[in-house]
Parts: sequence; structure tokens; C-alpha cells
Amino acid sequence: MSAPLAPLLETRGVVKHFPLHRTASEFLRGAPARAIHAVDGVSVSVAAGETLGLIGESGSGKTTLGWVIARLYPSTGGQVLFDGVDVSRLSGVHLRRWRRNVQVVFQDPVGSLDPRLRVWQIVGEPIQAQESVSRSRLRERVAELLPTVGLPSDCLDQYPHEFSGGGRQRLSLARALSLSPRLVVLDEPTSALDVAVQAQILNRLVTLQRERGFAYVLITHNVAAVRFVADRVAVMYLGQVVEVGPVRDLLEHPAHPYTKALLAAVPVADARRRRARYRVTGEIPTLVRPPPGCRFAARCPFVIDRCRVEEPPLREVPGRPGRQAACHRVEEVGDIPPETLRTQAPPLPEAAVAAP
Amino acid sequence: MDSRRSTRGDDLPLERFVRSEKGSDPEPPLLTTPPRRRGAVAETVRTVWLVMRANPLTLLGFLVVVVMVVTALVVGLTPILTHLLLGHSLSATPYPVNSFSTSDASQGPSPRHWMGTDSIGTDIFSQVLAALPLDLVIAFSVAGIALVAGGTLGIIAGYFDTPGTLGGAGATIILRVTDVFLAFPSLVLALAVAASLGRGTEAAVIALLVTWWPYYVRLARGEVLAVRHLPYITAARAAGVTDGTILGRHVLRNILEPLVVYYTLDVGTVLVTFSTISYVGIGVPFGVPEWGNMIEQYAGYLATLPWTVVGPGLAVFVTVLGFSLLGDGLRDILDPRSRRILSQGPAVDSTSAAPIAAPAAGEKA
Repeated sequence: MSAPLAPLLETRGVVKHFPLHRTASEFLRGAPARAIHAVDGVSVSVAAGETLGLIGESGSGKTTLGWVIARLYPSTGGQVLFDGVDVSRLSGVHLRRWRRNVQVVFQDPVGSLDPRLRVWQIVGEPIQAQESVSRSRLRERVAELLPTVGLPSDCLDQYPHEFSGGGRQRLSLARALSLSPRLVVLDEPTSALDVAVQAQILNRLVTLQRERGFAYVLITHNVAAVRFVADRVAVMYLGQVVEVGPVRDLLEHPAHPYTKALLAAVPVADARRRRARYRVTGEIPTLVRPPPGCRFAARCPFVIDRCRVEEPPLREVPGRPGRQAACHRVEEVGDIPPETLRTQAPPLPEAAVAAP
Repeated sequence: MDSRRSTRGDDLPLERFVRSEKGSDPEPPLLTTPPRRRGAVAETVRTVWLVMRANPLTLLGFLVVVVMVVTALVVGLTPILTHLLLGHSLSATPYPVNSFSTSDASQGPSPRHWMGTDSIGTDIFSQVLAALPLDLVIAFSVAGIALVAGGTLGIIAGYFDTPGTLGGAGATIILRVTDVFLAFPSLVLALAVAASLGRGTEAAVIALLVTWWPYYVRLARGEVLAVRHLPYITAARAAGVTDGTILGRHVLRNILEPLVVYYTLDVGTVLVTFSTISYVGIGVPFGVPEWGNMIEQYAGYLATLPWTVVGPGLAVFVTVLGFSLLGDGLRDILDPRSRRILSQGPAVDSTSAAPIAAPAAGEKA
């Protein structure tokens, strides 16, 4: 939980743009190709053995950031430092050797396992790619690995379709851990599973981390999962980090208006605690031409003129150690608990202004 | 560490499950079928048997193809072998090809002449048999060359097609050239090429090859595009697997099934087109036994001696049918997901198979 001195992974202003095809008129005018700004200047860090949760709504760039960290996408700009080495500059053999350090668990437990390969081939694939091992030795190693994720070691010759959803996700996990990576990017590892199985997988992740010291980047929109697994959380909105901090403090005292809105939107099962939603109004701005200033300005109940012009940098939240938020008014609105923002009906801005 | 785990739990239905798992609650079954202990050969035999049982017509198709191939080998090799061993060639056909006897002219099917004789007394069955090796070899090899050449180009054009890279440029070139060939109706293109090369078996084969490969480029590329961005390919890249290995282990294996099935069905189509070229009179030289050639030759007798046309026509029909049935069965054999469905009862959608099949596995255990 303590602030790391030398982070295992550090991104510095990472940018990932996906270029769009130019239209005919743009081509004729010689206009530059437009791009989707999926990740726009993100700086986060993960220490060895630590879990960083990445939360945000769909399209906020969480997965893209995870893929840039695992070097599945080359970054458009910025640096991704792993152990002080800029990963975005690696290529060829060096890149392939480096890959044993970072592995990924994907969201889709069906699509992430080749239906034509057997368990030992799937789980052993990373080992085979990085080391020269004999077939029998590979089978032995996979058989040793399977119990660590809670699978029987005698299912080496099964096909993935013979497993349940939770079983398949365990296979994905076993594959990702087969090389003992130092960092595992968990890309929504539980969102395709039912709640009971989610809990088992998350429990297994925490146990493995304690035993073997993996660092995790947990990408999810499941706030409960983040609270259970993560040490620190970064909240993303439209390709940028709007707030970072220790998990419990951030989830219980969100400082950024967007975080407040996100947490207020988490559904509650307990009928006694049912509450009116903190509704965010307005449209999500396009990622092709992000507006100047704060990206949440169009939907923020606390918006002032400055927000629409000047982009707020991530800065310390006063009185809350280890917390950073990207909001011009964090001193004024940081302490407003999300509950008081929940109103029975829109329009919101008036009620929100009246709250303090 | 523990302080953050013991959060209030007010909006955490999750925590309840987490605690219960630490207790003695049994986990739901991870495997929906019992672990397998069969060897690879035994399993293949079992799969083939399961497919045959579920779809007996596959067996028929398989038998037709085997009988065709064996007969073609016997008919094709007998003259060569007997020439080597005995010094003079013997024919495996009941009557010598292109021989005639006026006493047997214009006879209908009988025990002596199974498919009858033509107006000068040539045995139709002997001619149909004699044509078998030529027709089969051409159908297999034309479709096979198209499969390998077109398939390779299609895989390249699919897997390496990233805009702005060398692979993307290569893919564009391959696809545009393919489009040019696809712009012509295949039969018209084949006829035009064959006609321009002059009458001859080689001309017909070249015409077919020119016409055939683009379809495999399209098919292979489409299949590659469908699997290229699947998470298991991304996972392989994340593990540091090289492009060559990914192509061989993941891409080729997953696109092979539609390609092989298409090839099997295509053998029949090549046969029909080859016969058509001969029928039009610009393929195999006059007098060489070939099914399309025979149909052309006897077309004038359709009203008076119908068996002369029915014989070779039936040969084309049975061959194409055999390959079609075999192709359908191959599709089932090649897909591990269908094996399970076949072995566990009525057909179910493979994506929803897991929960449905789970109780069945439990009962067996």
C-alpha cells in the first residue's frame, strides 16, 4: 500500500490514437487523417506485487491502455517503462523475449482459447514460445500448473469446450501464469461469469498474488471486484485518468465529479438502501475531436467557464495523501459526498450547486 | 492488507460468495465431461464412428469415393503393369476401348453390355471406365492446385493485411488481381482460355486452373479475417509466439475445415466444368474417353439410344454426389465441438452446449 519507490511499470503520458480512413474530401483538401483518441496522455504506475484497478465506463480507454502496457498495441506517443526500460522501443527478438514479463487474461473465456487445441497445448503455449522444452516435459509442467488455478491436473487432453465458463477462465489464467510473469493484465477477467464464479476467480487471483507476488492491472467496470482485489485505483474517462488513489479511500471519498457519478451509478441490491441515481446529463463528447478543457465539462454538475477552456492536470487532493484528481475545483467539490448529489429527478446542476 | 478486504460490504454481494467459497461449499463443476484417457488413434476412430452413426450418408459418400479411386487405379495401372510384366498391355475394361462390332450395335443395357452399346457396337461401360482415371486425376489436381495456390495467397492477404504496411500493400495487390479474375463468369473464362489455347487436354486443364484459384483466395482470406482478431491469437502474440507458428498452429488449423470441405465439394464442380469444356468441343481431343466428351459425341442419339448418354451422365452424377456426401461428413469429423455433440445426444448449438451437457456428464460419473 505504501508509495513505491521504483515502480515495476510506469507509463508517462501514454497516447494511443487509432487513425481513421480519410474521406474523399479530406484527401482532396490534403487534411491530415483524423484519429480516435482512445488513450490521451495517461501516466500511471504499478509497483511489484501491487494491484492497480482501472475503472471507467465502456469506451473510456481502459482496455486500450491495458493492451498498450502489454505491448499488444504500439503506443502513438509517451513512454511505457517496465523496470526502467521503454517497452515501446522494443522490437523483434527483444520484444518477444520481454513478453514473458507481462501476460494478459482476456475477457472472453470462449474466444481466448483455441477450440482445436488441447489443454496442455493451450496452457503450455507461452512456455513453448519462450523456452525449448520437450513435449513430455511441457505436459509435466502444465500438469503442475493446473492445480494452482484450481483445475485437476488430469485434464491435459481435454478441449476447452469441455469446460464451464469458470473452468475456461481458469485455463486462461493458467496460461497467463505459466511463465511466472511479473505483471498480469487482467482485462475484465470476470465480466463474462456469474457472480459466484466471479468470486472464486477473484479469490484465486488474490491468493496467487500473495503466494507468488504478481503485480496486476485489473481492468473492469465492476467496482466490487476492484475493491476486493486492487490496492490502488485509477478512474478513466474518455482516454484520460481523472482520479487515482488507494482503493478504499477513493471509493469511499471520491473527489472527482466523474468518480462520484460513476460510483453513484453502481446498482445496489439492498432495497432499504435503494437511492435515487446521481444522473449525469449530456452527451459523451466524441473521441475523434475531444473538446478543449476538461473532458467531463459537458456533463459535470460543477462546471465553470475555466473547465471548458483549460485542461485540468492531475494534482494532489488536499488533505488526502496518495490521492490525485484532475479537477480545477477539487478543493471545493472534493469533500461533497456522492450521496448528497443523488436527487430524485433532473435537472441536476441546480441541485448540485445548492448542495454545498 | 486485511483492512481493505473488510470494507463495509454494504454494496458488496460479492463478499458473501467469497466467504462461502472459503468454507466447504463445493465448487460448480469445472469440467462438463469426464477426463479423457483414450489415445489419439482410438479417439479418431471413435470420432469417425460417431459421425458415421449420426450421418450414414457420409459412409456412402466415402465408399463411393474409395470405389472410384480404387477402380481408377486398377484401370489406369493395369495396361502399364501388364506391359512391364508380360510384355504386352492388357486392359482392365470388359471390352477394348474404341473397338466395335457391328453385330452388337445399338443394344440396350444387358448382362453382356451393362450400359449398352452405341450405333457401331462400342461398349459404353468400357468407355466410362476408361475415362475414370483421367477425370478423377484432373478433378483432384485442379481443385488441389487451386486450394494450395489460392489458399496460400488468401492467407497472406488476410493475415498480413494491416493498412500502411508492406503486408497491406501485398494484400491489396493480391486482392485486386483476384477481383479481375472473379469479374468473369468462371465457365466463360475457362472456355475462352481453352479456346484460345486450342483443343487439347492440357489446354482444358490450364483453363480450369486459371479460373479456379481466385475462389480459394476469397474463401481463405475471409476465414483468416474471422479468426485473426480472436483473443486466442492475441494471447499467442502476447506470449511471444512468432507469426509463422501462429499461422500454422492457430490460423491454418481453424480455417482448414471450411477449406477442406469446400475442396471436397469442389472436386465435383471441377469435374462438371471439365466435362462441359469437353462437351462444347474444345477440351479433350475427339476419341479420348472422357465423360463430357462422350456426352457430346452421343448427344445426337439421345432420342434413339438414350443409354449412350445416361452412362457417362450417371458416372458424373455419382462421382459428384459421392464427394458432396463425403464433404459434409468431413466437416463434422474435423470439428472437435461437433464430436461432443454427436457423442452426447441431439444436436445443440455449440455455444450453449456446456450447461445443457453438464447433468449428462454427472450421471455418467
